[in-house]
Amino acid sequence: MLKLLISIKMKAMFEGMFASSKTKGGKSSKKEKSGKGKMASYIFLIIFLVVIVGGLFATIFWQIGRPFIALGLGWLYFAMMGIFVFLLCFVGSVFVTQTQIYESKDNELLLSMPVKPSMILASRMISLLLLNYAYEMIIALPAGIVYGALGGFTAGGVVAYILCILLLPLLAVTVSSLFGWIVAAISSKMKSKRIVSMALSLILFGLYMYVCMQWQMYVQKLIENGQAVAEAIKGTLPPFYHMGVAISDGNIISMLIFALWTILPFALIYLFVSRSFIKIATAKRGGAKIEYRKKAMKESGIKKALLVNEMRRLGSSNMYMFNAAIGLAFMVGISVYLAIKSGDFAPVIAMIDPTHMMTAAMGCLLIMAMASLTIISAPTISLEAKTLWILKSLPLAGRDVLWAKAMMHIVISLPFVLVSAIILAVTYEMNIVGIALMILVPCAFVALTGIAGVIINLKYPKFNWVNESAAVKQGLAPTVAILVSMALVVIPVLLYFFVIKDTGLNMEIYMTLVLVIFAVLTVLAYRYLMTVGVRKFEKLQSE
Amino acid sequence: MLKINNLTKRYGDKKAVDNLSLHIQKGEIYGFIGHNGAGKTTTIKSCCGILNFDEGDILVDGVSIKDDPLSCKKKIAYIPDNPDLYEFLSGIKYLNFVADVFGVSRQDREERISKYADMFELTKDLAQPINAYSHGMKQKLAVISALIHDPKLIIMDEPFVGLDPKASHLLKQTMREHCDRGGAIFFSTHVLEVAEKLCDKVAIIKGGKLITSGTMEEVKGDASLEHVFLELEGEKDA
Repeated sequence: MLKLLISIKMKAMFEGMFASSKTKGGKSSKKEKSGKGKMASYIFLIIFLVVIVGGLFATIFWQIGRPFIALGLGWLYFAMMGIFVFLLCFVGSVFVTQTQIYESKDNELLLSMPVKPSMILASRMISLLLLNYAYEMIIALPAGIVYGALGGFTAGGVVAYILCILLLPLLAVTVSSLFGWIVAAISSKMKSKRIVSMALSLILFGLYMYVCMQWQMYVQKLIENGQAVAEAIKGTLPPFYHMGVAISDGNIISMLIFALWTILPFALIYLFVSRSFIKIATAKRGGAKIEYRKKAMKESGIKKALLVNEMRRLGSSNMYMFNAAIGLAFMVGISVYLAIKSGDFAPVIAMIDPTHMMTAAMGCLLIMAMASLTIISAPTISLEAKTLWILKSLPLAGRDVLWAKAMMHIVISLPFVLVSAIILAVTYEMNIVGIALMILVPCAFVALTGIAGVIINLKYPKFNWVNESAAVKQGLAPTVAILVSMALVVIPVLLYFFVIKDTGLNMEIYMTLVLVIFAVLTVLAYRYLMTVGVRKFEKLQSE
Repeated sequence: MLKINNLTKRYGDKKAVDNLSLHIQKGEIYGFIGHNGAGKTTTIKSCCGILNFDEGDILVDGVSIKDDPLSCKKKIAYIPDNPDLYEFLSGIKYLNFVADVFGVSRQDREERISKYADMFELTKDLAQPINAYSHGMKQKLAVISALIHDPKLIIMDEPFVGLDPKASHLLKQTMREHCDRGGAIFFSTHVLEVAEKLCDKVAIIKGGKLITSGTMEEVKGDASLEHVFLELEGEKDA
């Protein structure tokens, strides 16, 4: 039974990634080919991301590996690997734990069947564990390869390395399950469940981002103070210490202690959570009952009604906001940070960039980089799914529907762009041309990526989701949208450094050129959306 | 009001609806019955412009839905078999959205929402998010949203599923009143007793093909509709 439940969960997860809109019957060979093509594209994207992120970790391990081995602190190398893996797995799974365990839409169906609730919980936790193994490989694999290349492994160490890889994600699942339980338990008792969940998630994510921003400093301090850090980890993080000793020295006692540290808490949290699983999983969602009082209603035009509707959809979902619009919060956050730290940068800028045009370009780049993490429009078609009939049966022109979806992305993003640009412009005293370009280029970028998001989602719609997080986070549309946005940031930078810089073209003209290109691309994308996009929308079927 | 001419809809090689023709006139309540998978929902969705079809044509008040879908949809209200509504909206916001799309004036929307929400006893719950609604409440909301623009033609797919007996009774009454005012209703149902009592005309579909259609008297004669339906189904199987 457990195997069956896990396979259903994993199948749903993989189908969610690869499959898109389903239509009844027909054209199977074409659909199969298209499905295989999508799967191949997705696998390529995953490999690409694994290589990039894995390469980054390999560089870090190469930096810390040599001095640690030279100091006889091989165990610290693996303890650091363990901490990195734990953090990545925790952050990767903590946001899905609550929805996967307590808010999964098939909970009630399964609870009505002759399946033990503890079995349902076990299948959910094991599915999370399998997901964590995938995260773990991004770090553990380069760490192992680098350590092997530095000549540090013993035979016993290799066995311990494999065992530790199998056990380590248990820790992350334990902590994220506990976190999910706390969030679910608190929010099930509160009126504003959404606010509690959002606040806790933001606090956690803020802490994670803070750690990431200080990363280079930590690596440097690690190398400089290896011995002191080793003592600190030994005393405060015993599981990671024993894991390090088990792998670096092939120490069986440490291996057993580490196994206890991972298996025992996992078992305890499983028993603990299983006691309240039914109560939380079946708790009535939603806030206190609000009684309607008749009042004067407001009329709106069709476009406004559609736009407001899209905004309400975004505003109603923490998950959607958190995953699709977090870049906007970063944008303002980093601008404020740079404003606070202006005392450090302003003198340097005054020396190397007296016209402040390069600074304007950097500001523009920063705003666009953060805007590229914003994919509000990319899941808007997929999110319609079972409600697509509403748009199809009402007297709505496809043009208006698609306009509203793209416009929502633009309307929400622009204030953040303006605020960030104004903060940077005021702090770093740019000239009027610099300010204008620092505002206009990101505005054109936001318009282009907003429209592109809808086009991409029309190409890769996904209607077969059970939880809307699958529409927002998984599948091709959000991934392709984010990659396209990133490419639109990176290409002008590469062009500048490899082509334009040597021609002596000044930055004002180059930024104006980029602005014109973005504006032209925006017009072309809009025309495409309003013609080909509308035809695609009219053919869409969600079932 | 609704003319279906030789409608054919394929899913791959399978014909879900095969050369179906029906004519629903003003003032008629037209029942559409058939077993599961007979092609009722496909026909209904084609009539509402949700599904594209392969052959034939569908005319709403003389206008082809292929040629001018927006004009046709303005005259139609559709209630699906499963009321999947915008769960992120409250009931009142959903109704206001639908009213905005149909361009219903402020006064009219206030009057109609008040009338139908009171009638279906949903007024107190209109401020609640739809995700807190029961199936029956969602169905009531879908019915109110269908009536908000005073449509000429109401197309419904299994409208009584999930409604409590009182709401069912009120819906039947509303349907009759709508047709008495010159509107038309085309709806599918599995509840043959309801079809027999409520419908002026009825059509029976099987395997995408029309088996029989006509006034209730023409179709059932002295027998019950259930008897006729089962007999026709049996004949076709044999």
